[in-house]
Amino acid sequence: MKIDPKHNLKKPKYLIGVALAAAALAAGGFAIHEIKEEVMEQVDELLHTGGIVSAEPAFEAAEAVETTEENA
Amino acid sequence: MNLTLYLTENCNLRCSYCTREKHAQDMSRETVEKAVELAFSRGKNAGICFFGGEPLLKKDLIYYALELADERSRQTGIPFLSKITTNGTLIDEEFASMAKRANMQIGFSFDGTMQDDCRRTKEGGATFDLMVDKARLLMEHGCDTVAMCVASPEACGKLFESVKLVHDLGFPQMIINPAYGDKVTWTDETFEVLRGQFDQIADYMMELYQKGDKFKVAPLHNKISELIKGINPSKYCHLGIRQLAVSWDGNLYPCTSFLDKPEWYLGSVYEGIDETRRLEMAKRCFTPSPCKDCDLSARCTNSCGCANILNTGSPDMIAPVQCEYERMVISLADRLGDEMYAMGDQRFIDFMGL
Repeated sequence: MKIDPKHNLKKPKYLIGVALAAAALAAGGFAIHEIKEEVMEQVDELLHTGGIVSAEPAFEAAEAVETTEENA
Repeated sequence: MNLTLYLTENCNLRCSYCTREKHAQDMSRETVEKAVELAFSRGKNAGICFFGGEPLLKKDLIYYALELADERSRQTGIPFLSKITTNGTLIDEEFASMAKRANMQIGFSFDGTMQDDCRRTKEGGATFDLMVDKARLLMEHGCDTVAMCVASPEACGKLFESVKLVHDLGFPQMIINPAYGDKVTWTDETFEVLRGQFDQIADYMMELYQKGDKFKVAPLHNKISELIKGINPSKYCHLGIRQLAVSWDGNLYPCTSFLDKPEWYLGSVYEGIDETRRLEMAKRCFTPSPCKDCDLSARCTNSCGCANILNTGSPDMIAPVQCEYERMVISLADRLGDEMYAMGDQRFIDFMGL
């Protein structure tokens, strides 16, 4: 047994999923399976690298990605 | 404010992993009165957790404290919440009825099928059958009860069957903690046994979830829900800030592992809180230095001064066994969370209470 600090861990899928579900709800309630893969990846990236550690800011991040997608 | 009252230093059990010395020292009625006054003296809520020793050895003091608190709550309009951590052996009809009426939260220390390996009377007698009866009594009364289970190196091979027993007795939730402190020695071999048991528990939780059963087992369930909600478990117990422990003689300490350590004395219910010392403590960072840049730091109990002092003698140093344990349960919890989420987001959101 040892003290073993961990680094660069990927966020679990359920955290991303819940964040996206909340964002989807806020954006008008489209089904989670309809969210494009690239959006998932972008949010995943944000969660992984952006220091996002809870769903609350992730909701905002997911919404921001959606808005960017729509504007594009 | 929240206080944990050490009603007595005495106990009718001699659990193999318990680190508290047993003495025939009980809290006086006057100290109880002063403690209730202190609980209502600041903050928007008043809370008392009855602790020991075995607090039900002093049922008279519990009923007295509840009577005083009820009266103060009515006078001041301040909501009051009571809790108890008990070995359960002295629970009776009168107590169960009172606990239900008072909405008391009961922490029922029960090790399931490991009970007789570690939790025997001071005469060495078995307690398992008695505890099953007491558990049924609490369930019949509909008391707000959580089963609190300690896994020791010697008995942890029976942890999974203990979880199933607790579920089958009707408990809605349970908390598992590994035995810590100088009475136990974890080795790589015994820890692997524990890991194997937790693997089975995670599978069992998934099986129950698929059936729509809402039984919850901490730490697996709460490692998932806390991550989603952004709750940092290391912030639960800022020492001496969110709560204080009151020793049998009325002295105040940051938490239960610090009782009788003069360097952690924070005043008394008679003389009041030493605010200067309390403030000094609030400014201290208890995150152990190896944990500061760990990705799991905000999901781990590394800053629990109580566990740290039990394991290492220092509130801001983590033990290898605790680090190993936290990494194991977080990893398992995330596997379980992903499996649950894959069954549908709305169901998962409901189960996690979001």
